[in-house]
Amino acid sequence: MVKYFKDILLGFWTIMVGMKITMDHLFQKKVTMQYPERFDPIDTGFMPDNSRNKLFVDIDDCNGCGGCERDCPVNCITVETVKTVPSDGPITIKSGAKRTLWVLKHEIDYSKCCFCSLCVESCATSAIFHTKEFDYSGYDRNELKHDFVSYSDEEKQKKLDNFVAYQIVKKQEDAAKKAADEAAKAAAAQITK
Amino acid sequence: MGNFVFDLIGKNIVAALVICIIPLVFILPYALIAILGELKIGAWMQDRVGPMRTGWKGVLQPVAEVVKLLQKEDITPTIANKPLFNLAPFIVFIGAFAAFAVLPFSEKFIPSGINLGLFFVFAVGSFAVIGIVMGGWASNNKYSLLGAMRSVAQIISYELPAGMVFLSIATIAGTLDMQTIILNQSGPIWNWYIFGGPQGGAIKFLFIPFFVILFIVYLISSLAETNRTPFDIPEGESEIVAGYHTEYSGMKFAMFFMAEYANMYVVSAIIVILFLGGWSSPFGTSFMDGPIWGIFWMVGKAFFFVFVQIWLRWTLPRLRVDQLMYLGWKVLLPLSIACFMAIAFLAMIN
Amino acid sequence: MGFLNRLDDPFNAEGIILGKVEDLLNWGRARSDWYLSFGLACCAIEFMAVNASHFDLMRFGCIPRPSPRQADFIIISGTVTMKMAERIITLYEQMAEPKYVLSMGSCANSGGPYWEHGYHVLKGIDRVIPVDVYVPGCPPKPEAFLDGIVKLQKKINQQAIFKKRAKLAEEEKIIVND
Ligand code: SF4
Ligand code: SF4
Ligand code: SF4
Repeated sequence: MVKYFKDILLGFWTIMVGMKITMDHLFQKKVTMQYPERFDPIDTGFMPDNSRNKLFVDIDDCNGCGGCERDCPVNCITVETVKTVPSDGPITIKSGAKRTLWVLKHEIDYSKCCFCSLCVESCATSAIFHTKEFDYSGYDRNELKHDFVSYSDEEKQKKLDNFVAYQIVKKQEDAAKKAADEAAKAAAAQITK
Repeated sequence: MGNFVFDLIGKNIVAALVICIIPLVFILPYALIAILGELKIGAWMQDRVGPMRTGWKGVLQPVAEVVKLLQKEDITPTIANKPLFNLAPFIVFIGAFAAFAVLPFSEKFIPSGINLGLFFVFAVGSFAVIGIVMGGWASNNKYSLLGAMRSVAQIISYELPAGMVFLSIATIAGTLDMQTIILNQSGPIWNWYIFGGPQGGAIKFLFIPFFVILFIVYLISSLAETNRTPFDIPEGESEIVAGYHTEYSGMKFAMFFMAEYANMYVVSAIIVILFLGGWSSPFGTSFMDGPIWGIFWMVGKAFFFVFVQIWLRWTLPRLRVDQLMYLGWKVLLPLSIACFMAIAFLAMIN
Repeated sequence: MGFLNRLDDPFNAEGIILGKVEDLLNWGRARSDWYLSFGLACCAIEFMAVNASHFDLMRFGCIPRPSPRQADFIIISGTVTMKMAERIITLYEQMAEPKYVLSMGSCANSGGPYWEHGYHVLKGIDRVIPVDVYVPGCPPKPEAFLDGIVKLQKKINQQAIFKKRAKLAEEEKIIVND
């Protein structure tokens, strides 16, 4: 019987304590950060430096090695390249090394990317890195694909054509060289005989 | 006594219609304010800010909600019992609205001053459960049915303590008429029934604890009758999707919603009438008293209890069904019966 | 939306009255989005964070509703397995018009880490239900999610209820004429 009344009193008391707590919080300062109007995580320094947001590729720095494409666990990077030809002249990437590949396409599909940062780790030239941009929702899934190469189609075609033309030239050169080599070999054999 | 509308226009059909409409005109803005209060107070109690982007600081949020609900598709499930399904929300709302017929707003405005006021409120209070069971059963959905059954179990268990409270006050006041109950309590603040009522001289102070217990008992049972947290097991989201209104959408759901808020006002007003002197001013008859201030005191005190209900909602978790039954049958009922006996004794020695 | 049928006949859709009515209706729908409280995988955890005090989804008028009948939009928060996809379709069909879908995280957008070899994962929720806004991230930051809500509200605000109906009627006519 005593326990019964004790329980009732205890229950009543705990409800009172709970109500006091909520009443305290009613007048406390609110902790909400109002994102679009009054809270910008970048300006307020709320965004940690190592936060992993949207990826960016500095295409002038990318030598087209395809390391990121190979290392991406979800295969959401597509890199297409074509070799440079001697007629392009001496070209370098931003960091000074010689460019041997033109990057025709470097596309990241953010709708698949899991922001693991492995591509960033694997890039030898640090061309690919995380930016601080995070609010890029789209109305269409294809809006989330981004191609970082800004060449126009003609330019790309020209680069491909250049390469094909150079291949033909090179083949002819090779054939001529081979013929010359063989002739020289034959001549040498003649002499030794 | 009575009604300023009758005084103005005379006792005719127009006056009767005006009197019918006034509570409706009161309910709509009140429901909007209460919904906003619910959202904002709930948010503040959790250190959030609540709706902020609709109007100034979100004050238009309930309006947006009404505009939205008006446009929503009105779904009636194919396997539902259509007439009952469509009728249920209106019955629930009528149950809440009918109680307004006898709720006084001030000395000069009582929609209907029948002398069985308390009994009438008690009777139409159970009306809502009919609508709930009707909707729950007609939806042909097991969660709706479960919610409806829980609601019945809950309301039956909690009508008993509430009935004992009504009975005690009726005993001490000697009447079931709300006007008389309030008039009994006019005068200084210790004439209120929570402080023992106007009668009995010094001996009544011995009985104050019983009145306070009755007050708390009624506060708890009224929460259960309006299906508010912590007694919202008929619509417990974590167990039975949304309880009895799982299948309702659009305006029919809005009817349930509004009935809930109207009911909140009804039970708060009854608490005020039974224990806190209705429209009478806490400063006695000389200061801030009269028909106009009466409206202020009546509605103000009732709003305070609406606030208490919201406050409790954001404080307490939901009860389990067995705890609910324990509380109803083993705690509230014996306590209310004991208090009833004590108060009957007080009424006898007067 | 029965009463809209009656409204849009006598007025011109570009006219002041209908324009204002349309604005009001759009405002109501945009500012009061009730979402279905429904979570799937790891993204649902981040979604809970959005609901908590620091980010407070309710600022946008988003209130959780347990029943799909009362919800306005559904958040696909996480990996959609083949088995769950059927349930999502059911839930989506149970929702009352007008309804919206917000796809949260890479998994819901396109299958995410499982898009290539996940024999058990649906490769993008838009294969089964129409999606309004895609929020990228794995999981998206709470702010990114809020940005998705802002974009969704923008989209709702620009919807042309009456014009669209008129246009639909045109198209139907063409089909009939053919
Ligand atoms: S962050 Fe990871 S998933 Fe995204 S592109 Fe880089 S390697 Fe691929
Ligand atoms: S790893 Fe770096 S350099 Fe290589 S293709 Fe990728 S971005 Fe370019
Ligand atoms: S997108 Fe990433 S965080 Fe979200 S459910 Fe898929 S794996 Fe989990």
